[in-house]
This record gives sequence, C-alpha cells and structure tokens, in this order.
Amino acid sequence: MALSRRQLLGLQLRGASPTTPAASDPDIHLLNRATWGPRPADVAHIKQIGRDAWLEEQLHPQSIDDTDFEHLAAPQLALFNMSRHDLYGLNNYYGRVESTLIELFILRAVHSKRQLLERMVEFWSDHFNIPSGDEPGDLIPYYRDAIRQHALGKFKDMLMAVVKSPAMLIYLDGAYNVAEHPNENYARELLELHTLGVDGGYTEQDIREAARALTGWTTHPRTNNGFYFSPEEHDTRPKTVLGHKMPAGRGIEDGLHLLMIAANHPSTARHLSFKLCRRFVSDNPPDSLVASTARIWQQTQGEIVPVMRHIFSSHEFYAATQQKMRRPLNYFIGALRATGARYLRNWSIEEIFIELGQRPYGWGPPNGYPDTAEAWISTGGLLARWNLATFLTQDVHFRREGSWGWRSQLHQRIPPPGEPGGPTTAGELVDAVASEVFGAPLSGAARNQFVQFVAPTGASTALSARVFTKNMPVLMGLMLASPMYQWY
Amino acid sequence: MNNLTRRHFLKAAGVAGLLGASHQLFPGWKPSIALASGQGVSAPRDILVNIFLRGGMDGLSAVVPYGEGGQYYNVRPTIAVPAPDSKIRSAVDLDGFFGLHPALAPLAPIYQQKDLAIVHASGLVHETRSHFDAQHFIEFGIPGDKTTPTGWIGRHLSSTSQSSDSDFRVVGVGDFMPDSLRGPVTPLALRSIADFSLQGRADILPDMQKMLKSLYTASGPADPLSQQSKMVFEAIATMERLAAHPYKPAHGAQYPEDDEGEGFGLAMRQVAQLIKADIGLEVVSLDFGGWDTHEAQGTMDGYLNENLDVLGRGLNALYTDLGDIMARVIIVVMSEFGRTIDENGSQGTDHGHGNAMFLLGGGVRGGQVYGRWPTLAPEARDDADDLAITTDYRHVLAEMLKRRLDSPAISTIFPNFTPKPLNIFESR
Repeated sequence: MALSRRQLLGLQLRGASPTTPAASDPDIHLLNRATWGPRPADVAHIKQIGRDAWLEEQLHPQSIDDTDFEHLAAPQLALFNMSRHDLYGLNNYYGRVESTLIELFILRAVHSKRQLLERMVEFWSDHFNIPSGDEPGDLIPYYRDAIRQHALGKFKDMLMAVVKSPAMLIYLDGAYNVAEHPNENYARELLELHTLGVDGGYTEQDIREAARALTGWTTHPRTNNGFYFSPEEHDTRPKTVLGHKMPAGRGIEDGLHLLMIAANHPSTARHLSFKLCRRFVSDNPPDSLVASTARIWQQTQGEIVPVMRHIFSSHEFYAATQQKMRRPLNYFIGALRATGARYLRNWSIEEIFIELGQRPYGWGPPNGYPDTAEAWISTGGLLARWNLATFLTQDVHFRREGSWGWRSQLHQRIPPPGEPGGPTTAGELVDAVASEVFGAPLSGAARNQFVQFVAPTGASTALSARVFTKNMPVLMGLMLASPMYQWY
Repeated sequence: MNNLTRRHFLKAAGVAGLLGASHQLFPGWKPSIALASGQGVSAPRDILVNIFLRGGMDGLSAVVPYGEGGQYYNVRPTIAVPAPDSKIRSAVDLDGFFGLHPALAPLAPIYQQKDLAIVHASGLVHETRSHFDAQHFIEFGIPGDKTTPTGWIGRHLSSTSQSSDSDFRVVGVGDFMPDSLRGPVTPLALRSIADFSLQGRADILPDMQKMLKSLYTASGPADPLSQQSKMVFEAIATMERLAAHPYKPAHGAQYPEDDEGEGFGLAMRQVAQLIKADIGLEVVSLDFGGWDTHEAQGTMDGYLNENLDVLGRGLNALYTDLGDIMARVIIVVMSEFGRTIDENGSQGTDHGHGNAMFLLGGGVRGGQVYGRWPTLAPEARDDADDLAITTDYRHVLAEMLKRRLDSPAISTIFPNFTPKPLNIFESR
C-alpha cells in the first residue's frame, strides 16, 4: 500500500470534499478533539479568552465551576462517591452499580464543563480497560480512585493505583499470582499493554520475572483500598527484570521497584505518547510529534498535563483536522450535545449501544475499545448512526418495539422565523443548524448542498414557518448523519 | 408524534418508490433474481454457516457419553442425562456409546441421514479458561496469539479466488461482528433483515435517503465511508426486497419462535432467506449466547435444556428448509470450551476444555462421532478436571476449508499448524 488511506483521505478532505468549520478554524478543531462536541457556548468562550487560556482552564478542571452538572447528576454522584465498604453492602448492587456508571458517563460527557477531563478519563479507561461484569462493586472505586483521580495527574500514580486495585487484581488474575504457582497474566499485560508496549523490548523471561516480583499482591476486603500484600505468598528469591537486579529477601519492594522501572522506561514514554497522539491527533500520528511528546513525557516523568499541553499546542495537531472518525459513543454523545435530547428512561439505551456496537465499560479484553477508524467502519454501524440521528431529531421510535427514551429539544435551540434570533432565510437556517452540530456554519459546497435541500432557489430564499418546521429537524439529522460529522 | 414502523412506512409510502424497477420487472418475485449470482451449481465452494455458542457449551450434556457408566453418572449426580431408555425421557442413542441430549432429538434424523457428524473431545489446545481469550484464540485462529488482526474466516476469504463482487460475500448476523470475520473482505453486519432499514417519517424519508446518497457521494471514493454507504444502500434495497414478501419456509420447516434463545430461530430463518436469495453469500456467521452454566444448569428442564432445544430445532428447521440446497452448505457449530467433567457445588459446571463440535451438510460424512475418545477416567483427564482434547479444532476446520471451501492457503489461515484430516468431509 504505497498511498495509505489516510493520505488519500487527507488529499480528499483538503480537496474536493465539503469543508467543515474545523478545517479552517483552529479553535473549533481544538474543541472537536478536547471536548465531546463543540457547543455554541464553548465556541463563544474560547473566542473570548483565546485557545491557550481555554486549554489551561481545561487542563486544570478544578478551576472550572461545574455546579450545574453536579445538581443534574446528584443521584448518580451520590452512589458514585460511596465508600468501597458501603458499595459492597448495597442492595441490588449489580444492576445499580452498572447502570449508575453508564448514566454518569453519559451525563458527564454531555453536561460537565470539565470536558477535557472527561476525554482523558475516556482515554485512560480504554488504556486500563476493565469491563463491567464479574465484580461490579469493585468497578466504581477503580474508575473513580485509580482512573479519574489521576487522569490529569502523574502516570506512575495511576499505574500504582491500577495495579493495587481489586478490580484489576481479579480481572487479570494478579490476586492468584503466588510464589508456588506464578500467574503471568497480569505481568504480561502490564508490560505489553499498560507500560512498555508490545514492541517495547522486553522478553518472555522479563514477563516471568515480573510476575514473580508481583507475587503476593492480592486483595483483602478489610483494607482501606482493598489491596493486601501477603508476604507468605511472595517469591523472595532474587530477580532480574529489564536488566534491573532485585536482590533476594525483599517483599512488596520488588513489585514497587518493578512498577517504577516500567513507569520510567523510555519505551513506556514512547508507547503512551503514541497512544495519546493516536487518540487526540490522528490514527497514524506523525513520528515527529510522537517523538517530541515522548521527550516531554520523559522530562516530566509522565506528568499528563504538560504532555497534553504539548500535543494540543503542536503544529502537527493543527495540521490534522478531520482525521479521526468518531467512535460510536463519541458520535452518540456528540449528537446528544447537538440536539439537547433528554435522557428519559434507561431501557432504550442498551438497544442504542447494541446497534452502534459500543457500550460504556462493555469491551471484554484488556486492550480497550479500538481507536482507529478501520475498526469501526461497518455497514450496520453506519446505518445505526443514520437511524440514531433520525431518532434524536424527528420524534420517531428507535426500533420497531418503540424504545421511546429520548425527546428532542430542538425548538429550544433554534427558534422559528419571526421569533427573536430565529432564522429568516434558508441560508440562515442551514447556518443555525450547522452551528449546533459543528460549532459554526458550514461553507462552500457543503453549505450549498444543505441550502439546496431546504430551498432550491438559494440561500436568500425567505423562510416560512412551515418550511422551518418541516426542515429544521431533518437538517439536523442529516448533518449528524453526514460524512463530515463522522470525521472530526 | 409519528409512531411509524418500517412496515407502516412500506404500506403508507408505497413500496414501488423504494424498491424501484427490480420489483416491477419481476412481479412474481423469485428468490433467484440475483444482484450478483455467485452461488449457482458451479460455485467453487460450499456456503459456510458458522455458529458460535458463546459462554462454553456443556458438551457432556449435549453429546452424552452414557457408555462411560459410573465415570459419567457418579460425578454428575444431579445433572447427568439418563442413558437411552424407551420408557423415560433420556438420551437419544447415536452409536451405542454416545447419545444426544433429548432436547437435541431434532438432530437425530439428520445424523441418521448421514448429514450430521460430531467431533467429540475437540477444541482449542490452550490452557486458558478465560471466555475472552478462548474466543479470541479460536476466532482469530492462532492459539496464544493476540496480535494478528484478522480472523480465520477473514483470511480464508482474502486467500481464495473471488467468486463474485457481491456485497454479501460475508455476513455477520447479530449484535457484534464475530472476530472470525475480520479481514480485508468487508463483512456486512446485519442484525435483522426486517430491521435493516432507514428509519424516518414517511413524508421525508425518500428525500432524506436521496440527500444521504448525495452527501456520501460528494465525500468521494477515497473516504472509506463512501464505500460503506454504497453497501448500506444496496443492503437496504436488498433487505427491503426480502422483507417485503413474507418468507415461507419450505418443506414444512418450523423455526423456533422469535423470543426464544435470544433470537436464534429468527437468525436461522434469516440465514435460509439469505442463502435462497442467491445474492452471492459465501459465509454467514452468527452467535448464540447463554451457555455459561455455572449453576442450576438442569437436565430435562432448566436453561441448558432450553438452549439445546432452541439449537436443535433451529438447526433442524434450517436443514429442512434448505432441502437440496444443503448439498452445498456446511454448518459448523462450536463453542469456546467445554465444561468441567464433575458437577460443581451449585448443580452446574465450570469452565473446562474438551467439547463437541457439530458439522452439518451434504458434504459431511455424517452418522458418526469422530475423534479419539479419551474417557473420563481420572488419569485421562486434562488438568484433573477436564475432558482432554484429542482433536485440535483446526484439524476439522482445515479439512473443511480444503475439501468444501476450495481453500488454497490453509497455512495462511492456520499458520504454524500441520493439519491432519479426520476424513469427515467428501471432496467436492
């Protein structure tokens, strides 16, 4: 393959393809990647304070007042903030824990003003993926205290919290890794997925030694964080991991030593930098950017804020507009933000996840949902996106059975002609809808296509109330269903 | 509020507009009006129907080694299936040693017709007991390897001559695309024929569809979504055509009802519909979940019995419905692993190893249980608890691929593996 799909796509997006605001406005490109979809208010805010200041706010989420969201999500937050002990004691804890996690994921992504934090939590939740299922009572402390707590903190702190969490100890069998029968499952994923990466330069022997270093790391219901080091299960013989010698006779120090070696390894800097650039820049990020990001990572010993600041300030980032395809949940959340559709009942949502092919906390293997466009392009998936766009904009049922769970709020977003702020021409209508979907009006051929859809006589055609009522929701559905919205 | 279902829409808006000329040209609608005719009598290979039972099916209940006597009955005090006995509901005898679970009785006539073969004590030769790992290894086809991005069926399709340029060469029916299909030949993901439709208000749907086509055409051939959108529209048109006429199964075949067994009956019915439609289908893959019977799995009732009942009736219906077409269809049924030989403390079974595979089709030398039976004796067990695996599942698939699916590249599909045929399949 001499010419990759991305190159072709790049050519094509810069050439004949209809343009979206992100292609020409770096503010909107940044909003596209650092939020779950630009709202007109976000655009106004970034225009007012500037990209750098906006980024600093988002990199320091505690500086952003989020009380509106906290009120909205109060019931879910109450459960999410319960202690491990109380979570274990919950009535009906299976259904509640899982549905609360999912509801809160949606509420946060749609409504929280700390948007970059939520995108980072999504990234780390994939990187350190644990599916909901066997041990739901451990999931909330895991995603709260290990992932969210450190999502903009230090990588080594997050790694340490992950390795000690009961959810991970059980999911990847660390809890059953004892001197007499070492279980290599976690050690392998630690090096392959969580730190150095599959090409990070470790050997099978390193995996075996790493597993031995972690023997005795297990869970106990009575400890504060559920972690317990069991000295009698620990292999005290000497070990050598990645060239580092671990003397005989040590205990938990072996594992702590291992994690520091792995966290500070240059391969880890490279692996994590590549993954961050792949998520936030493009499926095949430029080597120059991965290398410069890895340098920042090593200089700061894996501090996530300066690393993200570097990526979002790089010229490579701003050259990579519309190179990512929205994953199904990104599409779903973006469409919720654009339409203002309200979540009414939770039972229809499983149907939506199934149709789209992605469900929060629904990926079984430890590598997390795939990140690249190739993994997500499918006939059924594309049709599901089109039908979801229609469902969220046109008051039709999502499926035959009538899973009625959403109601569009479009008329609160765009008033009809004659009311203050209401569009008066076909062109103004197209621009108003595009601003809700893309953050700003479309231009060129793309705008023209939608104008023609509303009024063959052109953009200045006066807009009647009837034409507005008929076309506004359809336009929004079509824009969400369009290829321009799938790529962002 | 417009409570418009697709069917209402078809009635309301008039079928002709969407179905267009093809319907008018063929008023009597026969399934043979093909978009791309790839599977006539001269087709180079059988159509593969690949059924994956997710969760670990209990092969020792499905194909009962009643001839083991106490070695089977003593370790399964509450869940063993009784040996064949004309007076009580019991196993259906196959060969004097094995019997089918009575819920699988619909498979017995197919076995007697020699169109059903069973390979017992088969499966994935790997120590894992994880559902995910075992499914991953089986579907990607390389035990122990998690980096190869293509599935065994995907590699098969990309390594054989292309029999048609149909968009329907490979179809996945179900919620998620099975990993075995991953590869360069794009699978069509299809949850249901009836639901594969563009939804929307009847008065604007035709305009919306036109606009979507134009938006995705404008985005150009280099955008992979543009290719996908063409497949979506072709599939919508084909599915509308199929769904517009009530499907009547042939030869009195009766599919299990929709709400049983997670829609397996409906899926089987759709497989028959797709095969008969002659639209260039080469592989269809689907999942049947709910086999992880850790507790109260039951014998003559309970949920294992219900699953087996739906499985048996669904397979029987497909076999009956397809009739002569089964001469060029191969159905493979397998699961990620079998279950422990001993019953556990909660009248269920835990994750094990060896299991039974089912193969149906005209090209199958059926009426036999294949594979060396390792016995359930304690010293013959794998890892103390499990039925040992004497046939790597890849031996069976490799033979099928070579003899029935015209595969020239077994070593690409199953690298670093030397297949040994068990002579389960006739050569085409």
